[in-house]
Amino acid sequence: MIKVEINARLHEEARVASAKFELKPAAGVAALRDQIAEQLRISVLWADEQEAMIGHIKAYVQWGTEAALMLSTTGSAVEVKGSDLPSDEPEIAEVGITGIVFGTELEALEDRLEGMAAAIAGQNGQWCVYAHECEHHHHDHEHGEDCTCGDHDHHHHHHEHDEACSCHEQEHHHEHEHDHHDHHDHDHHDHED
Amino acid sequence: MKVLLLSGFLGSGKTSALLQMAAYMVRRSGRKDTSVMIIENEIGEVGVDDKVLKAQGLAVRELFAGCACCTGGADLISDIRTIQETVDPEWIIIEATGVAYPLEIKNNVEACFRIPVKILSMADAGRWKRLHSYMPQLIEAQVDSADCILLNKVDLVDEETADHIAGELHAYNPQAELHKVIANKPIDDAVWAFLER
Repeated sequence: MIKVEINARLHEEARVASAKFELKPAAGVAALRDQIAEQLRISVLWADEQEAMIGHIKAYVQWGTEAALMLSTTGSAVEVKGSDLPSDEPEIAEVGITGIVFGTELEALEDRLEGMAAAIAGQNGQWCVYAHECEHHHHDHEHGEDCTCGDHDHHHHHHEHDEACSCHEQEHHHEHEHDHHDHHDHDHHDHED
Repeated sequence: MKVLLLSGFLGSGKTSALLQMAAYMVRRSGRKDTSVMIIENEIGEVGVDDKVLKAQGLAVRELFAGCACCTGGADLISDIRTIQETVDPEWIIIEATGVAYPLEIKNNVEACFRIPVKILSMADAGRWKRLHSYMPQLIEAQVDSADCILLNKVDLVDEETADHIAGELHAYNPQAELHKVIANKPIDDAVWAFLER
């Protein structure tokens, strides 16, 4: 099981989301790099379907403290930079993905990053749970289906983790761990053990 | 201590240029270990470019989860103050987020430290037309306060297009030096001469 930290926020017209997780690369760092590159290419197609504009979507793979690969796309080709591939395959690699996209909903970008994490995890024989910190409302919010809350600082009180919620920041975003299937009505990838 | 602000839209080649510029600064400096300190501003929670910079042996301080031109402004000042007190490098390079308004950052830093801030801005030849039509205010703001503009990725357009974009950039900022570059290939040291002026 992989725990994926997801953060999402708005910055003027930019939709900003990031995901970070650790995993054991089942077939090595080179294969992991290729899996991430494929997900970036899929993200370009996704943005085209959304009629959105990619500012950039970047990812890194890090092993140890000094070695890292970076992959990025601005809506066309995927570029790769960074360290040479390891001579000894690491037990654990850290993966981070960040996307800044214009012309789509923040939740859609968040879903895309979840999908990327799920696909990468699946290709390495693992599945994900998600921990979110976000600045958007959820469709099953207690404000109801008619909620048209468009406030960028909108926060949600209904969360099933209310008792554990330690909302203390001025922008009132909640940090929570949950099985993402429980209370989001947007499409998620099914996980297999 | 001198401060350089590296600005430019997302994917314009800031990090690629920064790697070469930092190498130039280190070569020119007699202080190998403390000549350059980079502040990497990422608007999201996860940094990517800092990993690559560190992997190249550069000293990097992360400033994440906010843009230094607005929500992260106070943290930027705090970071610069800490760097000045502990490292006192010859250069601090602030790599701004791709959605930052550089003049806001420059004014903030200059007001707090009374140090002139040079601005180097990257423009993306390959996406200039699309970006400029999509968000003209931001794109223009990222070049009109620059001391030097690098029109990057000129290999992705023909010469006529590159010249046309260069003409537009010059119209927005007639005082700035302007160079056409391909930042993922070696950039001539002459480009960095504006740092000494």
